Amino acid sequence: MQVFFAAVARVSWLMAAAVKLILAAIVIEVVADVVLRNLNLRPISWGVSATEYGLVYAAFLPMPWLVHIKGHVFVEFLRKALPIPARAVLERIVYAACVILCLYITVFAVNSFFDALRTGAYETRTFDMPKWAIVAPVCLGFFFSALEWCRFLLGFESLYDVDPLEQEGL
Amino acid sequence: KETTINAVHFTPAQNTYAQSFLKFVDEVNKAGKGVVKINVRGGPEVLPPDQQGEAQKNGLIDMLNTPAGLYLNLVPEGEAFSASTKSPEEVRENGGWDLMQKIYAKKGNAHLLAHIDAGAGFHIFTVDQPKKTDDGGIDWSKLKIRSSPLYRTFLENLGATVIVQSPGEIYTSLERGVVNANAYTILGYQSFGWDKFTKYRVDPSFFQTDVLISMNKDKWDSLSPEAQKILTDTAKSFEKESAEAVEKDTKEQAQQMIDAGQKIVTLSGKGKDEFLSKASKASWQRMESRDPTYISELRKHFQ
Amino acid sequence: MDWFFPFALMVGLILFFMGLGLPVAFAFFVTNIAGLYLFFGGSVGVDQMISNFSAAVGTYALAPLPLFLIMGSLFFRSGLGDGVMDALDMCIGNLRARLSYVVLAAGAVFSALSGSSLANTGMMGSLMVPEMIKRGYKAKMAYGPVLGAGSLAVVIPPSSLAVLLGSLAHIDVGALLIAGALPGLLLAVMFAALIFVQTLLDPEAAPQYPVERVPMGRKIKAIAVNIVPMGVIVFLVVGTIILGIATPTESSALGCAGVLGLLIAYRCFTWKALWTSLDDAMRVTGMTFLIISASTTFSQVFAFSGASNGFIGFVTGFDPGPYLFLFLMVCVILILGMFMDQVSMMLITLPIFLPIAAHFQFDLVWFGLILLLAFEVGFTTPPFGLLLFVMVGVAPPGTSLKTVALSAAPFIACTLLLIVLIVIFPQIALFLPNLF
Ligand code: NA
Ligand code: NA
Repeated sequence: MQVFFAAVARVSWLMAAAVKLILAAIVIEVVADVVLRNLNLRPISWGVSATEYGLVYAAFLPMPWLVHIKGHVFVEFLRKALPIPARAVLERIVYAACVILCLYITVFAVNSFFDALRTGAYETRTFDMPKWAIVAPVCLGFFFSALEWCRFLLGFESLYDVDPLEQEGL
Repeated sequence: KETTINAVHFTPAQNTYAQSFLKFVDEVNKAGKGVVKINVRGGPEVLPPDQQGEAQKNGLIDMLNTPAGLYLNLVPEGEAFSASTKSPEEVRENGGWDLMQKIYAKKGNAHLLAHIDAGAGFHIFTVDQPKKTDDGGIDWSKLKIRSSPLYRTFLENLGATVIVQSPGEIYTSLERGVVNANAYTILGYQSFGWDKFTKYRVDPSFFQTDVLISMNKDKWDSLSPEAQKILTDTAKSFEKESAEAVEKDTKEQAQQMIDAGQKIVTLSGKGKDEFLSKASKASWQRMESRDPTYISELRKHFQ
Repeated sequence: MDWFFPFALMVGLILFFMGLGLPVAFAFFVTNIAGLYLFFGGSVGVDQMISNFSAAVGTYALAPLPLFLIMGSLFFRSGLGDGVMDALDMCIGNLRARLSYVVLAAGAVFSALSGSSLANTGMMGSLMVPEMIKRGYKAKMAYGPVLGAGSLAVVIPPSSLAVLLGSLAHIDVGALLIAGALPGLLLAVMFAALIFVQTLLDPEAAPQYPVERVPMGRKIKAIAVNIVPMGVIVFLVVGTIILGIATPTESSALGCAGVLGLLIAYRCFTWKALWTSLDDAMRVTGMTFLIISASTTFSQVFAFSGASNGFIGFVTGFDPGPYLFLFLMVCVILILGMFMDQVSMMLITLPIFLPIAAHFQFDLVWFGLILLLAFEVGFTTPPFGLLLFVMVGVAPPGTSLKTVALSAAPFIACTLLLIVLIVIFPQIALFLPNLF
């Protein structure tokens, strides 16, 4: 099990790393665009749309890694009102809900991924972007998030065990 | 038994285009009392405009007021509406409408009701007086034009530098000189305050607005013949009515801008011909590259 | 009261799931799916939600957030920022909470150039907050000013939100933009006064570490070495916008390139610092954009179900006279602002509010500015407050949303006070537009 989750974490990390490269590429693209335009050369015509699709990847690919490192912001005002033993039960329910949610959306996303592949659907901005390439990060993001949540569900990790010194309530 | 049709529009409710559609809705609801009723559920706040075609296709929404240009991914042939030089009336008469009806049914699971608000084209507006060339055209290379993806290829082919921006950023870009030209319809141009900076309008206009009223085909087929007739008849008469309204409003708003100091620069001769042919070429080429099946037939009816 | 069931259900579910401890984005997704099945097409609606993601976050206007995060983080991860902070300390001397004032002033200046609160907060937050916390500033003195300055971005021109409001409401866009200048400035002054009061009430909030008295020569050297290069960045981010070289969106990328250039010039470039700053940007962007994708669908279901229109109609259904009406409209925006983004709110509320404003013959520029301020508050009100999420992202690990939200609260109070002042003294809003 440990090995399995280590492998999942590795994939999650890789997807997050890919987004870092995408962000770096966006910086380069925008700078190049500005420089070219001000030298009265033709700017990169596909740049804006490519950046926009890069942002879609930046939204969904880091999702599993953020689950892993507890990087998704949360609050706990109802949870805090419960007695300690009930919180432990609630915690598991929350993880289970997240696993189910992620798998549920994965099913729909994978479905539209294959639909898009089959029909050759695309989105039209300054260039035609195949739809499967837009849905792919959604599939990956939710599926690996489901796996990362399993790690919490099976008790390898807790979302709420922040260092008491750092914990400020809510 | 009254059937309810859920509808969305592509602009915010106060916008001219949405207002025009709401007029159509009123007419249908009046004529269809007890038979059919359109229930408008909202605009871009309900569905992002470029996804509305998809929502109509899969039946999430029954009726759309959305330009063909916003779902070319589903029906690339829809670009013929904006590339066309013909009026909706002519297209209905020469059989182009029926051909489109067939294509939209097949590719977008849609039934077309009307091509409304037609007749208005896009103009290029410039901050500085454009430099005329000997052939009656303009030195396009001096222009940094803000564009939407719809006409980006065309403006690039002219030789202008193109920047794609959302409408909210254009005011500041014009103010700061990031762009020195803008492309948009006369209708609604002032509402963004852009006329303060762009003191020149280039004529003629290119393309034409391609706003359609359409329905999910399954929903359409499920309607009673009586309801279908009410919708079809109202749509037909509204198509004409809205084109006239657009013409009147465009004239009015153009005059307001002229009164505020806007000057018109008219292309002529070879420069003008080249401008218009490049505009239509860009569209037809793109259509052909996406799906050539119906192109030659469409050219006959729309070009 | 058809609207009440969807309204109560959607708001109830989102509060319930967030309260249980589901991360914000996941709580939104669960609520969305429930809403889609009840009101908007069921499984077809879920398909559509996935199709809509690219429209929700795939927009160029969101690009400055990650880019400014990279810039700010790079600045500090490399150690370059330390020198600048020391130099700032040296220049300003022993003023208590000086970094809070610096943040506020810098944020206000940047607001005069960019219209994006998200970008402003991302930049100032990642630039200043880690350093302030390191130097012992309490949460309210570190997060509050950044959030306050961030929300200034949509009030002080330029502001894409004001442009949108103007064009939607048929208000003269230029007048509405200019109208924001004086209130924006006033708001900045009020924020400064607030910081001052907070240091009086709680002197420990901003520690008074001693700054050694230094001879003039060293001072000048410190400024030359640290502040002048900072000027390069300021030029790239700010000057290029003024000179029309770049759009506010693009200037964020130039800022990144500028910091990189400085690092190389100062021989403190390391691949590790670059990779770490990309990591910071990736984390905050991933977290924030996921919430944006999720909350967009929430707004759509909310609008389609009739919950929002019904709610607005209900509140404005009374006829209590102009001022109470204005009060109710602001309240509606404040409540919706807890759950929805600004653009959705505008699209939903304006069709109902504008006829009311016309009925009472409100001055539209004055009215528009009041609405704009009310919309702006939504950026920092929980549970859905985009700037709060960005701030949690750039703050040290373990910082709770509550801490950040509480530190924003006094700044929100200032904005509300300003709204009251503008209602009483319309000239605050109308003085400048009437000049032109
Ligand atoms: Na601003
Ligand atoms: Na909020």
